[in-house]
Amino acid sequence: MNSAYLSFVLLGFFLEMHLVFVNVIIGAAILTVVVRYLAYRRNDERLDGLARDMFRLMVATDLFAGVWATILTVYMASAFPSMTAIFTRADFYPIAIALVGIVASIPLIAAYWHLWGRIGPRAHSALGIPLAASVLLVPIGFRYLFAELNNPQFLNPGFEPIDAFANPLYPPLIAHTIIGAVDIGAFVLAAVLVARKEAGLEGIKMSLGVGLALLVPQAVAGGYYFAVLERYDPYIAANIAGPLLGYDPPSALFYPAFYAALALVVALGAVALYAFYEALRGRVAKLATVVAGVLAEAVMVLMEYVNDGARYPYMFVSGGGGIPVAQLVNQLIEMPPATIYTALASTLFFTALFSTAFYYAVVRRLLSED
Amino acid sequence: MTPSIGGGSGLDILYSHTASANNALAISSFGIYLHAVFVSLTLGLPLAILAWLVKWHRTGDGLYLKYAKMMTAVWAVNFALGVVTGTVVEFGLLEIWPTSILLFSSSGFVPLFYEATIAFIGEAVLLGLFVLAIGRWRARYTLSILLAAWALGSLSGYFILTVNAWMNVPWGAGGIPKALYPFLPTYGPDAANLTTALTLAALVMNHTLAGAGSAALTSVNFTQSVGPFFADPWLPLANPDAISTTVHTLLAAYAVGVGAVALALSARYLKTRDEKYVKLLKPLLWVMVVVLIAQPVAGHFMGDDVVRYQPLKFTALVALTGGQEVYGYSFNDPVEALFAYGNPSHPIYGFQYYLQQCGALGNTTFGQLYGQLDPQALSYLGPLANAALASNCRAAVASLEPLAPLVSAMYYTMVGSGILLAVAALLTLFTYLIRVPVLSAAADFINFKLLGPVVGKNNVLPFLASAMAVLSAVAAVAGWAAREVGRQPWTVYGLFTTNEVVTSVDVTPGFAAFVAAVLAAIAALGIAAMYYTATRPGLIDRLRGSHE
Repeated sequence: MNSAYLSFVLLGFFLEMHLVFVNVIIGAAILTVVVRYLAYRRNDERLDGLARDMFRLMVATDLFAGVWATILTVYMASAFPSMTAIFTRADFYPIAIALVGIVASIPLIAAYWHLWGRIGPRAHSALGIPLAASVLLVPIGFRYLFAELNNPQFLNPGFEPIDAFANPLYPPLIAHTIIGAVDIGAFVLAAVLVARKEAGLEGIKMSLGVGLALLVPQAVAGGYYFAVLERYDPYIAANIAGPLLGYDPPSALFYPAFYAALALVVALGAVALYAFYEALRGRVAKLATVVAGVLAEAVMVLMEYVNDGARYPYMFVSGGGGIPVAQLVNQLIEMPPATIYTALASTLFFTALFSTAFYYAVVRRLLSED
Repeated sequence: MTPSIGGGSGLDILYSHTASANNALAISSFGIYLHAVFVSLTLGLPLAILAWLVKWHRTGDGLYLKYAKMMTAVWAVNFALGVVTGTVVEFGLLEIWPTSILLFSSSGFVPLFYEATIAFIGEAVLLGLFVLAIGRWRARYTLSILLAAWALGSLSGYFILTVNAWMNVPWGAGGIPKALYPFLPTYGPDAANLTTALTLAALVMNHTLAGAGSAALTSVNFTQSVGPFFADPWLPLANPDAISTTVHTLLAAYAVGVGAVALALSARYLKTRDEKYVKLLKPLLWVMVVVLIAQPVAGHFMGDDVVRYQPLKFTALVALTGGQEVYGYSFNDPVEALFAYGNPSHPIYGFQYYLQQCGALGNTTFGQLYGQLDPQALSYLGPLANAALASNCRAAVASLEPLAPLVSAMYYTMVGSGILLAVAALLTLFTYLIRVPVLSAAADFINFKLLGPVVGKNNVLPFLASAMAVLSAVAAVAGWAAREVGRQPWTVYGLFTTNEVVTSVDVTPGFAAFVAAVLAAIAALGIAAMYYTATRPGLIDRLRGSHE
């Protein structure tokens, strides 16, 4: 395995680990704000309790997603210095937007939690708007980097950093990202709720309903994104769609994953529909709901693998070609394999520890004091 | 007479800060200090929690557990704030100072990667686990988790400070800095590839002359045109300055963190006269005293590194005691010379000495040097090819001269605070913690006969605790300022100047003001959040979900 390929794979691994948690944060934040508002409008205490559960899920995941963001950033700058330098110049403003989102979200989360029940429900619901906006600013800013990779603006003559906002690939990408995140968040939330000792039927029903309802717009956003990719990045489009749609893909590593992800989406729809139907009838389909949450994350992991991997051997893709990964990979040092292996072992160990603690504390609630 | 920066050679742009660089420096300094405040608390608070948990375990007094739980909530809030400000600092580093990406991809790779993948992730997970465990699990499990989290936090500090130490003492750069600045020493083994270093320097300097050195990295051919740079990525971990810097800085962080708790308890005692605050204060005093007595020793070793590896900074540090002589060839300062060289009659070199050392480079130009050592990189030099190496060297020396009084003021503020800290620590130790014949009598005399009448007999202990807390913070702020400002004109000592590292995007006063306002808002909200948490002892149980 050459160093460029290994570096590319590792970057992908760190990105995927980050996204597994980030999607839950985005989804749970949006759902919290919406459900909190509905609870206020309907004066429904059960919905209020559900919103609190969603919020707790978001808080528990937030810090760990931040940890993975740090790992991802450090590795990106280490393994791909000029790509990172290009981002800091070409996407200076989008990165600044994302940073503002990160910085603003923490105090807003604290204020939202603290003021819950202490100020009027109307004012508290209104506070949810800046909270949701701050959480959304993070993907809104950082997704410009992915758009830059797929359609590099910095290569255009006379490029100025402000031009990054005019990337035609960005609108479908961010729409696909945000709808997908809320969708995943909803299914994961349903899985968390159903796994608890006292599973609340109302919350499970609502989460599954939101997840199912968003599958359609998510499919539309995906189609829109693919259509734009086809125009600006025929190389990536061919790798994703493969021979089934009449393309001649340069690599056979991605289109099978894409179709597998589509199959999982169908399975997700079926399983979630069954669980939702059961919930409507007042029954909890525990296994189906948990499977729906797992499938939602699996679809995200596969789709992101396809979206980011299909550019290989290029990093920045332009039309049918691009700037190869090998040209951008760090050659200033030879990364010691021992460093990589120990780092991987450590991250996996602590992720397992986090997941166990998360499961017992948040899901099973075995650690409650009373 | 002090020469002008650049000596008319056109090198001013490398050494004289642009307005953009000054704005960037202002916001980065603010961000780093803010992060340091939160990190100091993150490192110090576990020690306070540990002291109280041990007391609770030994005495069974629920007061200690109650406050340990309260402080755990503060620690968690503080850690989150540290993550936020750390993210801003990290991205700020990449975004505002893009040439620093070179650190991530060479000498800083191992420490930064390990910091993220071992220390930071471990600290975050174990902190979460501790929040769940405190008061519920057996004491030995709880204490083990706390100690492991604190150790990983300290390890995180070591990794980050290792990178900072490399920027001060580029261990493994060997004789490369000396070739450009003859007064500099050799920095460890020759692990840096000479031709790569020359190519890197040429690329970055040339781009700086053209507008922004960091633009060199945005070439898609950058890594290929530069090639292998650093042969041993592990070497920075063994940098002697990394060791001394880590010990001194971590001790300072512990003092500031525990000191903040001591200050809060003292303030509460003075306001309420409730003896429970003194009871809670006493276990913390042990931590403070041990740390503060060890600190001068660690500081001395760090100072030795400055004398040995950063001679120009050392001259700046003593500018206030040296007076005008510091701008001359050499002068005598028996006290500084004794600590620096172990010989009170050893001369301390002034700026003129270094300017004269630059003369050793003769009339050699960058073009001639590159023609001899790395002809392939000649094309990257651009207009720099005709600049004389000696002019470059003199420009570097001259650029630090105006900053010397500021650096020195910070240095002596740190030294003065350190002396007072040591006195306060000894007075606390011998009066309140242990009794030693003669020493305790002397400490009692000072505390109760001299201090008591001034601050009030019952206020001596809270006064000493408060003094240690405030002076720790003053010493830490001033010491770090002396270290970092004294590193000018370089970002990496002897290798890269500040102007070579700053972004090509103009950092306007408006942008700087916006970032400063965001940082100030974090500071204000952070303080409010910690105060809120610290004044609600039952909060951690609410956080854990038992409110339902």
